[in-house]
Amino acid sequence: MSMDPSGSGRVRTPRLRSASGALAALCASAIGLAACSSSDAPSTAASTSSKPVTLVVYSAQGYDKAETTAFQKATGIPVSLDDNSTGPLLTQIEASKNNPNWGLLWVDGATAFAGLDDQGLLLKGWEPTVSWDTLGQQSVPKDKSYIPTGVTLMATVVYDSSKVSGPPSSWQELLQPQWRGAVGMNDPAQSGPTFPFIAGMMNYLGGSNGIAQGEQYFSNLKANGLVINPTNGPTLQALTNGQIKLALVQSSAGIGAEATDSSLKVKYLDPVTILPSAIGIDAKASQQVQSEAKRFIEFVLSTKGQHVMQTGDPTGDSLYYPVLEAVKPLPSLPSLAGVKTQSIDPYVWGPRENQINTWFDSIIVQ
Amino acid sequence: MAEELHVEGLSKVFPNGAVALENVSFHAPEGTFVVLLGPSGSGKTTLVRILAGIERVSKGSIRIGDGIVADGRTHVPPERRRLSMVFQDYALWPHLSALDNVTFALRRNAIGGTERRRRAAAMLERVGLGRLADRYPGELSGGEQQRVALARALVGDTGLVLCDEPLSNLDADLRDRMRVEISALVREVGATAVYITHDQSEAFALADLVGVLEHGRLVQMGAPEEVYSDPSTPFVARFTGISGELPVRLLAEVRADGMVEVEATSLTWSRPLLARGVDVRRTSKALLLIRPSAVRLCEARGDGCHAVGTVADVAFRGRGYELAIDLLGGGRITNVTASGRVQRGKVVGLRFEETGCVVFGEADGCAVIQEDTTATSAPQYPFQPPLAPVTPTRA
Amino acid sequence: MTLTHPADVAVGDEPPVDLSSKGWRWERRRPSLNRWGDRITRTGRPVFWIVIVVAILAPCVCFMALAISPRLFGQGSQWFTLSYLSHAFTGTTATALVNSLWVSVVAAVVGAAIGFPVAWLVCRTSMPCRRIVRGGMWLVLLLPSWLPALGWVRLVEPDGVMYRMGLDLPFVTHVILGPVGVVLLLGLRNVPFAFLAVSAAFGGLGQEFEDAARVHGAGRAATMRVVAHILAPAIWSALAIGFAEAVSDFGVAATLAYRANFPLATYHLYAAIDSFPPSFPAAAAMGWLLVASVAIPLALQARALRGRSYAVLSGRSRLVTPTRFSRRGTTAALGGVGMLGLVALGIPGLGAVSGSLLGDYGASFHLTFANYDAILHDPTLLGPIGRSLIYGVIAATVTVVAGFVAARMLARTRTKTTRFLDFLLLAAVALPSVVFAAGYIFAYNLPFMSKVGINLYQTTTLLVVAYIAASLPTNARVLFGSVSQIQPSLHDAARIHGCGPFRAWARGVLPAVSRPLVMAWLLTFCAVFLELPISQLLYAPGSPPISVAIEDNLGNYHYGVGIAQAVVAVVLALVVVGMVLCAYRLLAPRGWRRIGAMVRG
Repeated sequence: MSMDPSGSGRVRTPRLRSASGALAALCASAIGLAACSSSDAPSTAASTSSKPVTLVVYSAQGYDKAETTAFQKATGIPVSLDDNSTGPLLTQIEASKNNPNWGLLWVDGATAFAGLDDQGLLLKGWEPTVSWDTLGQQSVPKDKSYIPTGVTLMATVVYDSSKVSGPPSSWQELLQPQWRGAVGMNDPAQSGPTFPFIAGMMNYLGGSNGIAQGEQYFSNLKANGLVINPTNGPTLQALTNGQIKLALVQSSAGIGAEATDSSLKVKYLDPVTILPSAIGIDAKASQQVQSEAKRFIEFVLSTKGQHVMQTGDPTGDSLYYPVLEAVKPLPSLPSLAGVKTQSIDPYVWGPRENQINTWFDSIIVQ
Repeated sequence: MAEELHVEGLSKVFPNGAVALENVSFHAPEGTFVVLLGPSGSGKTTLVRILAGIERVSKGSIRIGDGIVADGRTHVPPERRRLSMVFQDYALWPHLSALDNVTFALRRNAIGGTERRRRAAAMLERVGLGRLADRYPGELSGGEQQRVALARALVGDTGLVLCDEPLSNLDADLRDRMRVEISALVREVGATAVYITHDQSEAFALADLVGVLEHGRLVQMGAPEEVYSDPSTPFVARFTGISGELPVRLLAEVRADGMVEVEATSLTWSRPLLARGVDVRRTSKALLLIRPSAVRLCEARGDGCHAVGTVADVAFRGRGYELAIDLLGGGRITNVTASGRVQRGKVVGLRFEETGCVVFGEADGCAVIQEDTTATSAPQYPFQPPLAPVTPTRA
Repeated sequence: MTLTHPADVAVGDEPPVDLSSKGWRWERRRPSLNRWGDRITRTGRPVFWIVIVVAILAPCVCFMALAISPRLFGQGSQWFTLSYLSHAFTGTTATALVNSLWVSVVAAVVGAAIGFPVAWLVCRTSMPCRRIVRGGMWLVLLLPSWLPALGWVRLVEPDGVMYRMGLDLPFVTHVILGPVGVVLLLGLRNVPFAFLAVSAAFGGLGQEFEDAARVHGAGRAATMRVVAHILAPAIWSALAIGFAEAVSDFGVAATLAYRANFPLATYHLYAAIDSFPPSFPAAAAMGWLLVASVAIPLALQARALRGRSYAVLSGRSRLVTPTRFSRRGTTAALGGVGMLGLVALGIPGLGAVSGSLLGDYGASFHLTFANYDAILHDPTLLGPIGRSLIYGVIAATVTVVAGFVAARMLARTRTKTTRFLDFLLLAAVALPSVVFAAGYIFAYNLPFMSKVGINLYQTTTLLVVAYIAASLPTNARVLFGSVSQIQPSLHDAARIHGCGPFRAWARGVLPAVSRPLVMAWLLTFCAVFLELPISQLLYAPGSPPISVAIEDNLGNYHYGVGIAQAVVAVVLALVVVGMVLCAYRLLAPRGWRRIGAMVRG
């Protein structure tokens, strides 16, 4: 009897079969891959059509969702928000350098922008028409490669007023025996805002060449029992545990703590270093994307945009000091009258970040 | 319903260059029980795997029934060949009960689930395992597992049943019984069977047709009696069981009836004897291979005695005794039957019947061999020589 | 209506219609699932290799190429340079590499040395609480490695929990916050791998080998040696993967080793990427060194397993009678396992949980559930959890299938192809997952990809593919132990008796390894569910997985909430594990479950 009358049981010889199978699979996967391409993928081709192109926003700010939603509603420009921590955002930008996907970057810290600018990744020379206040003027770079949207200060001293009656009045006082083992700060390797604090101290103690003086200061602080924790959260927790008495944290973190626990108080020592949050535009983005980014910056710096910033993350990033004359900070922020603020040149200190952080980790962190 | 099997010019070369089979051809009519006999490395497992479709053919063709299942261009996959197989390691699926194992083989038949289970249960009953149907393979003994495997192979009414040394993992006492069961059941079902083994007594007991494989070549194929009495090469002779071998020289040319007179050259004392000559000439050196059935005890140096030796070993076999005799001048003859016990060391005479002796010319590579290519096991159960000379029959 | 064999027709019925020319066709038409399955299975091998190339090889090669050709992806000015590689052999990176190597070797041995006896206790004895031990192993495995490390740091640091409890033991602090602590933690992390691999192998090992040894005069220790020899593939597999996992671990490197000032290679690699501007070429150079280091366990494994057959799992294996302990023996066994559990789980758990129960900025050391409360009332948390669950399920399923194929290839005779696959998979384990993530950016963000129409970067598809690629190597190794025990004749028998290739696997072979497959699935699910580096770099904007959401909180102002989220996520993963195991127990046919536990009673 016949094995299989239709002959469908016959199979082609092995080589042909596996090769054709491979080819079919390859085609299928290529088609599949193409079909799966994201519809949100931004077009980087130069486009002069009036139809709005999606603006890709890379942001680490707590209020970014509120801000982009408001912007989208106000202008009708579609926004794709990539909300992530600063580190991964920068890694993504660096890794996708030869084919960037982003339109603008919105993070804390001028040194990051200086670094991007040094690599030629930022659009230069454009500044929105606004009137900057003192903080704003101190934060705008010479080549206008990034635009500040607000500042926080590094570092504030947070203490429990029920336990500490006489907070320190100067940085040098922290080296005194009465504060032995009582001071805690963040680890610059894990806390982005901390490096500007260290650089700021170096700048304060010796100007742009003040590395050695700064190292001396922190070594002394370490000898006096400095406690290191990864970021703002653990440092503040160490404070509430009673492990330390003074926490040196970012102003927004300190003020937020103050709001939740009335016995905690915030104090600024002279000088505090300005830490701007800023927006930088991708130099390689298309004209249309860049103009949309400019409109975004203008929106953020408008009254409405600033209002959204101040309400978007009430216990966190919203506790910033505005850079515009017309905008007042939230009531819970302590006044800066009588407080000396300094800014450090990110183009000078930015390139030193790796080296200083490595030194700090090897000597101070144990 | 049994299928015919035609194998033409089958060759198999593995990717690493090893030649497993070379130009094997044979024909198995419907319903025959074919046994392929050979030592390890002879290619018999490869041949069965190729018949099953697990391996591919390099050259040649295989036809089962009317359909070519494998040749240079075609390869019908195993599940479409309508075969079944009994494996050496039983290959029972450990996650299925005995009944489910047997039912599995019926899934390709166009019958319903209840009917499948009924048939499977019936087949298990037939192999004597009806009450163990719900046990899992891990709970069965080796013999029981092999019987389940047999049931699985036979339940589907396939045209061709392949057996890959199914008895070699069983205990000796079980082997005999299982051999009878396999033989009986396969013939009852009426399937064509291809069975491979290295055990010559098993092969001769089961087969309608015996084929001997050596290094991938099918050196002889025929009825068991024919292969036994007319081995075509020394290898076949040795592998199918000899008592001993002696270097001899021809005293005359080969006669018309194929017999030739020879005389042993190495013995201290011997008389000429008649043997069947295969590929031998007077001028060449020759080797005499002696079947166990050809050896008779007689009075030392008496009438009809061809050689003399001393008894080296006596083994009681239930039905008689088996002796090993060391010949004077060298050489040992084993598997010599005696009806009564003989003392070790006694001098005895041996007579070699001409129907069980074969002489091969030395050019055949029949020099006295160092390594042992004889059947790997002495017969496990008393292997009775035929009581009368067996005349060769055609397949 | 199907045609039937004349014999199938009962007496009195109509004779069947004979439509074919030669008689009758009695084969029933195979369901379309099987035919599709056959087609897929037949193309299985090439598709598998395509997946390997696309998902693993391409991203890794793209990343590693940067070490010698930074300009390739715009990361430097040179088209070819060896300076990064030579720099990796100097200074702190060299120290870190040497540290990583010896620590990983010791950790692998520690893991196997503990895992083997525990596996024996669970699989071959009647020790009580065996299920709890199995569950504990799972717990250790699915916890992210930084969690126990953090717990230990919390415990022993100056002014830590131990100190507050009144135990001032600076010696313990010194020991734990040092190489010994690192080895301890990495070794403990390897114990589950060894346990899983060896217990799966035990599951397929019948009693006969031990019986043979005992009969021939072997005492208990010698019998153990015999068993260990037979289980050699599983043990070597555990050692190799233990080494690779230890060498690529970042959790311990970033917490404990960092605190202990004991540099490890992964930390340097991460630092090279984390610093700004990042130095991908330097990271790639370190990656080369890590990849090269896995040649050691592989060479040793190949030598040890050369040429032997380990196929012992078949229907022939007999059920095992478990060893019964005396009361003293039981106490000793329970005590040992209990100590292990305390060190591996209890102490770190204490540290982590105490962290999460502390209020964000509350008063000192009183515990509060405020953080958990906040989570449960936060709707934005449900999205990430749901997403991570789905990603986990998809990734785990695909990975297990591919892992099974890979394991089978590895278990067969060694050809050049399988040796290459072996090396590739182990090297992929040795590379920290951040390398994969960055490699995906390089590979899939190439300009020509957009031109061709492949826009996968920052899509969910690519994220899931990256998860699969990162989990596949571990998965394949975990399955290797049991897959190497499957006798090929099981598949052949299924084929011969009427199954196409797909069904032969599905019905004949896979059920025999169903338990290890389920375990591998759960392992991958948990790993993907809590995975961080790949999630951070590749997730589609607007659709963060749970780990990214947790990280956000940990990094910002809501530390307590972040830890609480982490605890909730871990608990959720455990719930899924429990559900799947229960479902298996309830739904799998009796015969399936018997295989994995070849123990009587």
